[in-house]
Formats: sequence, C-alpha cells, structure tokens
Amino acid sequence: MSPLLLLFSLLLYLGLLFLVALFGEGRGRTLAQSPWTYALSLAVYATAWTFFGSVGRAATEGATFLPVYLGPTLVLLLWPFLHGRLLELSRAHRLTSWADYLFLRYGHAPLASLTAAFLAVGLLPYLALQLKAIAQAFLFLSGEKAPLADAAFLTALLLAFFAILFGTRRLDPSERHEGLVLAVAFESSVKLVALLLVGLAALLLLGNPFLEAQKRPELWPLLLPPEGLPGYLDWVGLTVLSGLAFLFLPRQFHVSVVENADPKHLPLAAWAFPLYLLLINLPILPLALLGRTHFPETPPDLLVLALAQEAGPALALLAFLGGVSAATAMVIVEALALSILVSNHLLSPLLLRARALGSLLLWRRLSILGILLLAYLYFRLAGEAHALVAMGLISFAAVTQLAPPALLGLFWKGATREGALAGLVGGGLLWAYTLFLPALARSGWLPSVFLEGPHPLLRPEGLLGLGGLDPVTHGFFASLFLNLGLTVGVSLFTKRQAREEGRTGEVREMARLLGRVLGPEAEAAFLQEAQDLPGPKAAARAEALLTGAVGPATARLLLLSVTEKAPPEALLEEAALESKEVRAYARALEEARRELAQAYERLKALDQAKDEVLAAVSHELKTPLTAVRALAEILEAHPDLPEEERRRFTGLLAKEAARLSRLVEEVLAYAKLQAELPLKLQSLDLREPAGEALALVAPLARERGVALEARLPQDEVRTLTDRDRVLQVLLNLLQNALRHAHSRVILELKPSGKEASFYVQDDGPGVPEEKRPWVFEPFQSFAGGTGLGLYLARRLSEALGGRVQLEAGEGARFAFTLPLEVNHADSGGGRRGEHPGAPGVPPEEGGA
Amino acid sequence: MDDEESILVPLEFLLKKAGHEVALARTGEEAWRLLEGGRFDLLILDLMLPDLDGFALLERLPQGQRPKVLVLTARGREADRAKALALGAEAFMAKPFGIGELLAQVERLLEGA
Repeated sequence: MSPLLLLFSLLLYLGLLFLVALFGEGRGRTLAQSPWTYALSLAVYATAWTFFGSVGRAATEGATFLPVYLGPTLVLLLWPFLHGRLLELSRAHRLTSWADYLFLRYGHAPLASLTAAFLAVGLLPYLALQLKAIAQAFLFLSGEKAPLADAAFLTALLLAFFAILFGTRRLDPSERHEGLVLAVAFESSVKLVALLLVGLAALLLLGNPFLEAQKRPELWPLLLPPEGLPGYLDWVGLTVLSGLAFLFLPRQFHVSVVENADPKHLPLAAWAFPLYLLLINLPILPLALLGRTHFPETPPDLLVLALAQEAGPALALLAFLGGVSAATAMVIVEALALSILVSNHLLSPLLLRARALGSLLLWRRLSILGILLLAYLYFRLAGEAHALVAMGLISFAAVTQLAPPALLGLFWKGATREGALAGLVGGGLLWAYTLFLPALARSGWLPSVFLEGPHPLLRPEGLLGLGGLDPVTHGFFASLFLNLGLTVGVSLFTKRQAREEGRTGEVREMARLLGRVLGPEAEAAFLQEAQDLPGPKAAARAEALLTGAVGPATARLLLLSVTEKAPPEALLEEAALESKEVRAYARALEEARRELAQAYERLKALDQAKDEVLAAVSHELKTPLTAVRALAEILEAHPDLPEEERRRFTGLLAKEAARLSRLVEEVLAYAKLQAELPLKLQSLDLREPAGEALALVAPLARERGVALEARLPQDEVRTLTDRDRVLQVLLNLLQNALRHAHSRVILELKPSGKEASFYVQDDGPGVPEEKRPWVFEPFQSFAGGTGLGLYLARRLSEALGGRVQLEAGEGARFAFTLPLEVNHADSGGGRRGEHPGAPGVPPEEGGA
Repeated sequence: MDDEESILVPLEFLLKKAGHEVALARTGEEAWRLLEGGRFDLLILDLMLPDLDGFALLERLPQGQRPKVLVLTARGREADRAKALALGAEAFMAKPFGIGELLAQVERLLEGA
C-alpha cells in the first residue's frame, strides 16, 4: 500500500476527528454530555495495545490477555461505592488528578509533586508503546523499510499537535472539554467496529480456526488454562494490576471523574463499559489462532494487520485506522492529563517561586510536547526490545503505586502523610528496580548489572531467589506489597497532622488574583458568585477555582498573599452552621421564641381588655355613687323633710344601691368567666341555656310588668361551645331588654346554615340613631343600666367565635350569633380565651 | 340637665332649698327648648354621653346672653375638663362629689354673675 495513501488517510482521519471535537463543543454539546458518550469515553482504556497487542499476546501466551479486561470489569462493581465519593470530592475541590487528591488528603505538596513526576516517568513506556504501534503499522502496510524511529517521530509530533489543539484551547478551571470527550467516544466506536470487522472478515475468509487448532498440538497451550501456582498468580496479579491501573491511570481519572457531566451517568457506564470490553475481546482469540496458522513468520503484534491485508486493502486501511484511533485517543487524553499534572504539581510551584508564572496555557502546551518527546526518546531507548503488552504492563505497575496512599486515604482515617510518602517512594523505587531499569538494560542501554542485580538474592526479576514468575507479576507484587507495608506501617507510627486551618480575606482581592491567573472572565464570575459568601467560604471557593488551573499546592501558595488565617470564631460558626443538630436546635429555639411572642401578645391584649373593663367599671360606679351620696347627705341634713319627699329620696337611694350591686355582680361574673380560661367546650343544645336565662330573668320581668315570650325551634340546635358564657350573654341581653321594654320581650332562637342566632327584642323606644354606634361601648349607659351589660355581652360572644349585633327596626332587637361548624383545628379546647376558633357541630338545617 | 333621675331629683331639691328657680331637662333637646324659652343664670350640664348631647349643647349656646355653665361628668379625665372649658364652660366637677362642694360651686358662679 502506498505510503502516501496511508499518510493521506491518516491526516483525513485526524481532520475528521477534529470536526467531531468542534461539533461536540458547538451544537453537539448535549450529545457530548450524554451517558452513552460517557460510557464510550471510558473505553479510552482500550489502546493500540488492545487493538494490536492483545492478539499478539494471545498468539504467544494464550488467554493471559483477558485479565487486563477482567480487572476493570471487577472494579466497576465497586463504582457505586468508590466513584460516587470521588465525584463528590472532585466537584467540591475541583480535583483534576489523583495527585490533587493526595494533596487534599495529606496536605503535603512534595508528595503530590513526587506523584506527578513518578506518573510522568512511569507512563512514558505506555506512550512510547502507542507511538511504536502506529509507526509499526505504518511501515508494515506501506512495505517501506525506513527506520521505525522516523515514522514514530512524525507520529509523536502529530499527536502532540492534536493534543494541544483539543485540550489546551482555553484555560478552564473545570478542565471540561466536551469536544475532546465526543472525539474520544467517536474513536472508541471506530476501534470497536474496525476490530470486529477485521475479525468477521478473517473468519469468513480463512474459516473456523478452532477446528484447525485441534489438529495442531503446538497451539493447544494457547487454549488451556494456566498451569501451576505461578500461572494462577500471573492471572490474579494481572487482574489486580489492571483493575488498579483502570482506577489510577491519569487518563481514566480524567474521562471518568474530571469530564463527568453528571454523576447519574455512572449506572449506565457500569454495564455498558464491561459490555464494550467483552465485544472488543470477542475477535482476539480467533484472530490469534488464525494468525498463528496462516502467518507463523509475522511478528505477533502485527497479526491483526496481516490478517486484514489478507482480506483486501480496504480492510487493511480500516485496521490501520482502528489502531490509529486506539492510539490517538489514548495519547491525546493521557498527554493532556499528564500535562495538567506536570504543570500543576511540578511547573507551577517552581514558576511561582521564580515569580514567572506567565501564561499557564503556554506551559501546558509545552508540557504536552515535552511529554511526547520524552515518550519518543524512551521508545528509541527501549521500545524495540519489548513487545507491546510488556511495555504497557510496566506502566500499569507504575500507576498502581498510587493505590495504597490514595485508597487508604479515602477509607482509613489513620493514614498519615509520612506513611503515604514512604509507601510511594519505596514502591516507586522498587518498581524502577524490578521493572523499569531492567527493561532499559534489556535493550542494551544500561549495563547488564541492572538485569542481574548485585547479588543473586537481589536479582531484579526474582527477588529473594524467587523464580518462575512472570517479571511483570513479580515486580508488581513486590512493589505493591512494599508500598502497602510502608504506607500502613509508617502511618501507624506517626501522628496524624492537624487539618490545615481555613483562610479568609477580601473577596475583591481574591477576585483580582483570579483575574491575574485565570483571566478577567473568571474574575467577574467569581465576584458575582462570592459577593454574598462569608470570608472563609469565598476563600475556599477561590482556592477550588485556582486548584483546577494551577494545582492545589500552587493555589494555596497564591492565596496566601491575599488571605489571612480565618479567626477561630469564624471556624466555630461554620462548624456550628454545618452541624445538623445545632440547626435543629436553632429551629426549636426560634419556634419557642415565636410561641412566647404570641403568648405575650395574647397576654397584652387580655391585659388591655382588663384595663378597659376596669376603667369602665370605675366610671360606671361614679354616677350611682354621686346620687347615693347626695341623697344620703340630703336626708341627713334635713331630718324634717316631709314624709312624701323622704319616701321619694329613700326610694331613689334603694334603686341606686340595687344598681350598684347589679354592677358589682356583672363585673364579678365577667371576671369569673375571664379567669376561667380556657373555654369549657361541651356539646350543647342551645335551647337549654335559652330556657335557663328566661327562668332567671322571670322575677325581674314580673317586677317590671313585662311579658316574656320564648320562640324556640322544635328540633335541637346543637353546637360545641361554653355553656356558662352563652348563658351570661343571654342574661345581659335580656336584662337590657327588660330595662327598656314597655310590655313585652321576645327571645327567639333560629339556626340558619352554619350559624345559629338568638334574637332578643323589646317593644321599648329603641335605640336612637345617633346612639347606635355606641351601644356596645363601655359606660354608655342610659335608662339606669349599668352600662356594662352590652359591652360584656359583646366581649363574651367574640370569645365564643360569635358576635352580637343591634338589628334595625322597631324597638330594640339584638342578635347573638354563634357558629355551628366544627373547627377541628381548634376543637381540642381553645387555649386562648380571646379567640377560640369556631366550635360547633354540623348544622341542623331548617328549624323554626 | 341630666338624664339620671337619681341625680336630677336631689339636685333640684338642693337648689330650690338654696332659693333658686330650677328647670329640669332630661335630654339635650329638652334643654335647648328651655334655653330658648327663657333666661337662665346657670346651666348645670351632665356630660354623661360625652359624644352626643353634652358637648354639642355647649357648642350651640348663644354667645350673647348665655348662662354660666357648670359641667358634671363621671369621667374625670383631663382631656374632658380641657374640652369643656375650651367650649366655654365656667366650671367642671368630676363625680362623685358631695352636695356641699356642688352648692359652693353654684354660689360662686352666681355671685360672679
């Protein structure tokens, strides 16, 4: 195949990729944020190593390629438990990598910097592997014999260019790139479809390989389970290794946590991603067997291409592009994630110290370029000596060194910064000793002592004389166990450091800082967001925003200049605010305060009413007292008064004395009713108090020569009310009527709808028009009344939820109305004498 | 003028005993008719219904040959006293009072006439 054609299709493909990314940032934003895109973007896990290397490994070692996919599948079972928590933390603190998390958890900048450096170095083999895959495929298909290195160099530059284009077009504290995510998901689809098509075509063209394999004993080991303890250990080791790598690879953190648009996408991804892994692994074994039978001479990592070429140039091109898609997705995301790591944890602190922070985007871009050039360098140094899978696994083992400090940090409070540091350093050194350096030595770039070790017991690929294990399994277990042991051991012997104290400061100054580092848009956005936040909260927010852009350590350093230690009161206040119990207590207090205020208002109203009554009573006493005094003084000063005069005066005297005693009785009755709080509600037939009131005023009526008439309904008129008060109101109304009547007083009871009314009517002169507004006011007595009767009747009826009115018409006609409706909310017994809801029972319609 | 028989009767007795001519009125209207019908030296006015008859009558008194006015009230409030005096009453007495005080007050007002 012509190299020009290959190059042209490669560029075409990359151009298409760029269009997809543009679409994702524009109109396809909703698509880029869909759960399916999220699940597909996770498949950035499957790289050129999967596409080419798995077949290669299957063709030489059998099914041992499978644990690499079993690990992530098992890890996904833990997702609801682990990832939900991680997403929450990441959202709150704008974490962009595990190094950010380690800094947040242990508060130690060197630890995070070390992690970043270690990851950058540890992932070089992995990146180198992708370069090698593309270059190898290119050369194989073009048939050129040009040095592998030249093609790889070109590839490295192209991919760096694309990573810069996709990932660093602007500086966004959230580090979200919808276009990039959509492009990655697109690439995941391309590589899956390509590998499935190649497998299908090969099967159709070359027949069922399993039937063929039975006749060839040399292929049998590929189909048999692993043998012996070392075989099992290899399987378990690889499964654990790839599971942890899936969690801790920077690009996986980036797509699964940083680029996660919505935590609700997790459930779909939890089954869709394993399904993807299953599908992409379906063609591996058939392809490996077919490759071994038909192309025994071809290098194993190139079998996919060889088989595709067998099916025609179009399929070969598809296989090439599938491999390219797998490699480019990985390189772009990994390089971007690593560049964020490097610039946040290595470059920013250094630049800040040198006061040369400058353009962060430029540093990001330079980081990407630098990382890919280093990957190319590693490829030149060691790449040609290793098969693809072995190179990837060395990187996997490096990445898993993060597991003990990070996972223990998440789930064990006792983990300390010293423990994490010791574990990471120890594990990292052992990883280099057992895996990284021997790989370089194998390529001849380091003396062979790195392969053999200074002592037989210290042989890098067989520590303590161990033999028979796969070097990767051996190195992985050795470094992980040392790391775990050191993390736990040192943590147990060191004290947990106090939490970093909070910071506080002027929002305006923090905004200026954000403007300097992130640009004027970030400054404006922060000003708007933090305007009403208290100092410590605003500082935390600013720190989170800065963390996203320059890394947590640098963010903290930057903030030091514009903030000060938060005073302890503020911390206490914040802690108190965050405590649920305190909030509940505050609510209860507020409730109690409101009840007290209401009770106070009620008491005040009662007190005022009492004052009013007292004033009314004292005034009412004065007129009869004046009369009594004047009459008594006259009688005393004129002992010789004519008998007629004397009788007249003593008669008046008796009348005024009676009036005084009536007044006292009324006041006492009122005071008694007021004192007997609460209302004594009872189910009452209203005809009953009416009858009693008539009986009580009968003597007065006889004395005055007034006829009493009752017009009560046949049926009972039942309601829930206070009998004594109803009776008192009726008595006051009847006495008032008797005082004004010429010859007749009528008491009538009429239910109507939800109310029942008593009408008390007399045939007296009636109330003059101008006095009508005053009849219910205290001390408005006329015709010898106490002046309090109607006033008290009004107050009592209001307390019962009813009212007393003076009706228009001949004579005086007073209406006393009570509600019949049951008010369930208050029927338990009005606590408030002044306002007892509206007691009653269902109305009995009609009546007389 | 008073609407209370118990006050009117002893007052009438006392004033007659002291040698004065007395006319009784139970309402503002009655009093007004009496005032129009003849000349009086003194009007004893009960402010029992403060918002109606008492003050209204006080306001309607003719400026020329008006009688002296003594206001009686059960409400000893300072505001009532001030209002009564402002409307032209010559004296003000709060209930309850003794007959001695009343007669002394009446004599003082009539002497000044």
